[in-house]
Amino acid sequence: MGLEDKFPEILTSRLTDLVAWGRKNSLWPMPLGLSCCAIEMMATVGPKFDLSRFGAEVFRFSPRQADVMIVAGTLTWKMASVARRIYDQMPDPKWVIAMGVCASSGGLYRNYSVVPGVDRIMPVDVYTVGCPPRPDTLIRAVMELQSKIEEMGLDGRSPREPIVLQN
Amino acid sequence: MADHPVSPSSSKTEALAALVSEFGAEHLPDAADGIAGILVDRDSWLELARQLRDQEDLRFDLLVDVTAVDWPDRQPRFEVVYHLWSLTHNRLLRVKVGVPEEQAECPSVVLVWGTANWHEREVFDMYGVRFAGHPDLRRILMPDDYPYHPLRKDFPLEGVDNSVSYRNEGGVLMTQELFVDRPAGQDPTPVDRSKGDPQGYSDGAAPADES
Ligand code: SF4
Repeated sequence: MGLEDKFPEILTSRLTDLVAWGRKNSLWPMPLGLSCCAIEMMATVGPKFDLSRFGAEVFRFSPRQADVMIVAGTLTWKMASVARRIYDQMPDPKWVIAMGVCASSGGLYRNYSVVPGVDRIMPVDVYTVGCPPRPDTLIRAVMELQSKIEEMGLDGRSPREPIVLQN
Repeated sequence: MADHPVSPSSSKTEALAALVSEFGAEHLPDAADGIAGILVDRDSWLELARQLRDQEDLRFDLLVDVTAVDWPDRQPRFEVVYHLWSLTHNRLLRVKVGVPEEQAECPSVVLVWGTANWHEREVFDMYGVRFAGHPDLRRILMPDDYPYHPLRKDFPLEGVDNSVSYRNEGGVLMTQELFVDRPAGQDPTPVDRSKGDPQGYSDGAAPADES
């Protein structure tokens, strides 16, 4: 590290680490608020829980400006193709948090109208428990996602193994 | 509901009885909720509906509800049920129309009560009963390309998994593929949860007596 000796005001880093550091601290969520879980998602960005402490408070209602989709609520088959289209419109690299048991597995709605888990139509990075999850759980999901992003390469894709939050 | 003025008496009951015999309908036995009911042949239903709305002594001017019942062991299999309310006379009436499975079609009463439009679409969506003369008979709750009528009794309670097998592969799923994994004409396959979820969920062994 001769460079740092000659110019003490310069920090050196690997490009991959620098990009990952930038990505993980400036997540822009796309709030897919589908039902009751969305209320907790709103509380999470409010002043009390303040998701901005983790760099993820800039909710974008245009998928083209977002990089993490928070699926907060019950996904129905009627909504499924719409949700998938919104996901497709998000630029890479992109991630998905399945918030609550409905988004993770269909939850208590095991019937004709509800998709049994949003991973039927899109890859999910973090599954969260709770009906609804408390805002702390969502914050934890964001933090788990951040640690996952840290390990990703420049393409932002690997590793794709989903994280399942336990109680 | 119990003290709802459905009590017999007067010209109103007679007008209804006259109509029932004129159109060959039947009175239904007293229901627990005290609402008078009639069973109507579907060929005469549309004209009878007009009379129910327009006759001075009846004036059933509000269609409260349209729904259906699936009786798998009966003939005819479906019963379309209408609830009518006369705001003029403050009386309720229940009308049932039998619809066989082979020709699951019933006359639409949209021209008599405009509010029947969305109600009939829902019955079509859930039971597959078609309404002849409906101006816009599309599904209303399920997606347009959904292949089943989910409130029929032979549809599995836990639903049918329509998605293609897709899980964290990073692959691209086109929206149209959501419902095309089933070859045409094949029966719906119930989700078999006895060995865990087919897509790889394992929420423990599902109780055997669930269905
Ligand atoms: S997990 Fe519970 S709170 Fe969240 S959308 Fe489903 S039912 Fe509502």
